[in-house]
Amino acid sequence: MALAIDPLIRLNGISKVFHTEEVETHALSAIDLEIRAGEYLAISGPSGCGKTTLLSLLGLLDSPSEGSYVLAGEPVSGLSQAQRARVRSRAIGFIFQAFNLIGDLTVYQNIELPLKYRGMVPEERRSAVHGALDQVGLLHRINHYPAQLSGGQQQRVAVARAVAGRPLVVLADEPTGNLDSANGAQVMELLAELNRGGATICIVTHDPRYLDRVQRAVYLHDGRLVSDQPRDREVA
Amino acid sequence: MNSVLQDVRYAFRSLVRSPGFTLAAVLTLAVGVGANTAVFSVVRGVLLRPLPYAEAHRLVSVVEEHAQEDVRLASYPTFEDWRRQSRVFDGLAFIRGLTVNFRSAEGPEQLIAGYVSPDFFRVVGASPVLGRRFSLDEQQSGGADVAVISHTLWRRRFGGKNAIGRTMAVADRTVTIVGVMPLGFSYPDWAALWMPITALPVAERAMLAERGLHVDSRVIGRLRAGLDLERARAEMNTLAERLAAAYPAESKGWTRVQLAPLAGEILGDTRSRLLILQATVLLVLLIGCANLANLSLARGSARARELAVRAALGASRRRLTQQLLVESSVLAAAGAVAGVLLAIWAVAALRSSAPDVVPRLGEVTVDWLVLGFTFLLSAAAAAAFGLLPTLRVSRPDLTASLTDGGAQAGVGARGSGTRGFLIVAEVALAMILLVGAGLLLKSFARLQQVQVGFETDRLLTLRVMPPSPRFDEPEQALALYQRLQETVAAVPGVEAVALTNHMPLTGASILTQVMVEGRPPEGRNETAALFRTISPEYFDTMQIALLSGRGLTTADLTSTSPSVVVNEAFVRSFWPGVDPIGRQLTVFKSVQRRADFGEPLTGTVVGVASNVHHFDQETDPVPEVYLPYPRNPPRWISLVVRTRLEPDLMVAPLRRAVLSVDPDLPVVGEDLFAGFATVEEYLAEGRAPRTLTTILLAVFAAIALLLAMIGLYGVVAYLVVLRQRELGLRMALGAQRADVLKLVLGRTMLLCLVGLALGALGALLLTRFMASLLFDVAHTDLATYAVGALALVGVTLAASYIPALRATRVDPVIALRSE
Ligand SMILES: Nc1ncnc2c1ncn2[C@@H]1O[C@H](COP(=O)(O)OP(=O)(O)OP(=O)(O)O)[C@@H](O)[C@H]1O
Ligand SMILES: [Mg+2]
Repeated sequence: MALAIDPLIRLNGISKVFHTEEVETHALSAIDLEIRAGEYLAISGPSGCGKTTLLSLLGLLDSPSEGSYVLAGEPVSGLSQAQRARVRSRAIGFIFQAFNLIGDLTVYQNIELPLKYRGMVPEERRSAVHGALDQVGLLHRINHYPAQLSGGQQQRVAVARAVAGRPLVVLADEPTGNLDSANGAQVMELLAELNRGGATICIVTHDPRYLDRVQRAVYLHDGRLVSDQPRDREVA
Repeated sequence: MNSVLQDVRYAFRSLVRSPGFTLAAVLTLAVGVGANTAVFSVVRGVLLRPLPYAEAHRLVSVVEEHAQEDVRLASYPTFEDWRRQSRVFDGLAFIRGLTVNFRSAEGPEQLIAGYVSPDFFRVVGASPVLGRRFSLDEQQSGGADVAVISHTLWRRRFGGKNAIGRTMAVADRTVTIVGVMPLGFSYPDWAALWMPITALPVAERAMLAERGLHVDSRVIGRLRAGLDLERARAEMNTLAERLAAAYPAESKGWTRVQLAPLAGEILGDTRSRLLILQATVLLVLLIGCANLANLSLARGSARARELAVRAALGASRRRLTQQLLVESSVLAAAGAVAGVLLAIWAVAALRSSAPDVVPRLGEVTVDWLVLGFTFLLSAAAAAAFGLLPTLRVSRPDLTASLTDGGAQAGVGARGSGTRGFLIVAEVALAMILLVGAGLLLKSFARLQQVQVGFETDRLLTLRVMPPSPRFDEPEQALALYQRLQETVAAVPGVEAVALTNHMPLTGASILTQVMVEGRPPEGRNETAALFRTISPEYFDTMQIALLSGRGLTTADLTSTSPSVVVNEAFVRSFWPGVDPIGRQLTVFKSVQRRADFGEPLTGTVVGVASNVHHFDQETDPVPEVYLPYPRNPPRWISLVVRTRLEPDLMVAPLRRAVLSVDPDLPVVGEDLFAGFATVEEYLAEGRAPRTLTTILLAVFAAIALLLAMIGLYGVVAYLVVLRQRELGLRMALGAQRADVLKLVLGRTMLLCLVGLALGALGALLLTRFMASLLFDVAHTDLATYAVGALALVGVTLAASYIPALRATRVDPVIALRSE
């Protein structure tokens, strides 16, 4: 659901430093980035360049060491943990490389979980879960457990979980990393479809084939944004 | 074999490397194994070790039984008939117990002598450790006066030095010691020395011939080899029917004979107390094992990688299992050694602090059988907590640990099922123990609240035993009692003094048949009452309330128409709904060594006294008749003294006062009744077995609760670690801290509730076996269960709160960073 606020996300001078045992890791340095509603953005770069770190800041899982972050017109870089959790449950959808479905919950319960945390009433939750599952084509698996699904199916459930609450932005960290190419392509197709439906999507990926599908690709190197190119991605 | 040695060495190294784990494990095992070893050594010494009598299983104590389920001690003539006419025994012996004065260099003291029939030592199958049994000659009338003394008396009076051949004054004669019995031999348990029955004081010996005399005595029989108890009972019953028909005056209705294995008579309810304690400490050990299982599971997971590497390097599954088992065995061995040391200390402490509370406690030691039990127990414990992680490690998906997060369906805690089980088990076991201890504590409190019916504070009593034959005549005894009362009353600090035949709570009593005006005699059980003789000051001194009429007066002591006082219970049984004042009743004189024994005595009721628990707090008051003591002067009497000062300060002056009346009166001795003792001491002595059981069970329950708390903390803490990724994911998906807290606590509390339900069920089943130890509390007592459950809910909350709090600090970023 794209709001008429432009840009949806604005990062200014963001940096992130990890302190571990007297070693400082500058995971991100002076990142400026704007993402408009409805955009489909890919972040890529060599291993260790800071992609996941950037995604965790975008998803409010972590807070930056420096810089400002404005999400949908609200400054969010200085929020408390509890406030971040609240924003997260409403505005962000996550898709993970390792699927991260909860093993002892059914498909339905997994998708419902973030909606519950958001405080949605049961009736709305039901229809939201059904709608999302329908979108990923797994309605018939609604009462299965993750262990009963293939990897591709699990990731599609994870996609459904990410979009069921109609977040402002969907963040995905190498969503195809644990899938074979056929399943990977299917998931990427799903994301493209969601984007066409208006969702703002930001994925981390290495795979050049998938880069073709996005509107815009940014490259990170050593924690710095080195390139930001619109892609020609007019797909039929 | 070589590989085991290697594993032992490896186990030592790896245990030394994690000293926290090792210490926790060894301490837990030491407490669990130690408690079990200590209790088992008592079980072994008291219950399992054969009595110190040859073929003790053939020994039975024999009493007469009435058709209406009542029992009485056999008279000597009945014993003689049994001995001559029955065929079921290899031997039958009679023991007459008599409190006697015993004089040695330190002055007179009171003790109980067992005057035994000729076959006694052969029947019980025991011989002196020093000296010998009685010779045939010595057991004839007019034979030499000899005695065999108990081990305890030997040590106390002769310092354990040679006593054979030494003489001492006992009752009315001077006797020579010919033997000392072994430690642990105490039959009957009140006997401090044994003498031939022919040595009874003349009057007592004459009384023995009376078929109607049922006094302090025992009959013990040795069943013929191979004869079973039922057959013996049947034959004895036939004999009893014959005797009842032959002697209707004395034995009408006494048509049965009760044969009870001797062990039962000696142990009383000790068996159930000990078994309950053993069950208790086993449960404590189980809780300890659950804790250790969790600890080693945690360690197992932490070491999964190391073990996987070893597996990859070619170690077989058997080899890995063996290594883990060796490690838990090393721990168990260390725990066992510490436990045995603890047990040796505990047994010594028990022996010195409660020597008389548990019968045969003197025979308890940590012996080889006990050590064998400890070994088996520790091995079982090692298997129990060692096997659990072993099962996990030897699972085939071992290699997953090497390939770092192989495709795994869903996040969540693997092995959380096992840990859930541990939580349920710990809570359930602790619940059983809490309910058991709670029921006993409540019984104890209830008992404490029972009013005995008189004021026990600052009340001292002494049983005065006038030496024979100087005071054999009733007039002589009466004069002595009067002088005693006057002299003691004059001692500074004394508030009041009274005399009575049998002081409540001291175990002395005698029943009389009663006939009352306006009611024909009914079944014999309904017509008996306690025969009490008192001085007029008794009710005031004891502070027993008079409900109607008056007490006895000095004038009553000499009046020709005797006045009597009855108690409430008497009125309820004999004159329900009737005003008893002014009515007549008849009782029968009780002092047996005199010719007037059994003579009827008719009196008029002048007052009704409130009830007194005569026997102990647990036994309801029974009907009592109080008469002026000169009506039937007792052979010995109890002085009751209410003091103004602390009783401790009064004992010495009171002793001096008694000795000033007559220096031959014993004022010291082995038992409470032999010297001045407070009524509070009698109360404490009566409660001692219950007190000990209650304290021990409460202590073990407290240990169990502590162990359970530590265990629950450990399990929940480790569960949080295992579920870290899931918790992080939930937070990434929008869970607030409160959600996470609720999740962790909620799941733990759910498991806790399951444990409580199972524990309550277990407690319902198990506490049935302690019904005999409960007083005024049902084993289903809801309040006790509720308190136990609440305590455990509290403990579970407390134990899981810190780990739950830690769970809320999981960094949600973890969700992005797949392992
Ligand atoms: N919690 C942390 N503590 C210390 N250093 C960290 C932490 N998280 C990330 N880093 C460091 O920050 C840098 C960026 O890490 P990040 O995970 O963002 O890289 P990435 O681009 O996602 O790599 P990959 O493609 O391998 O997933 C790395 O050098 C990493 O070691
Ligand atoms: Mg990454």
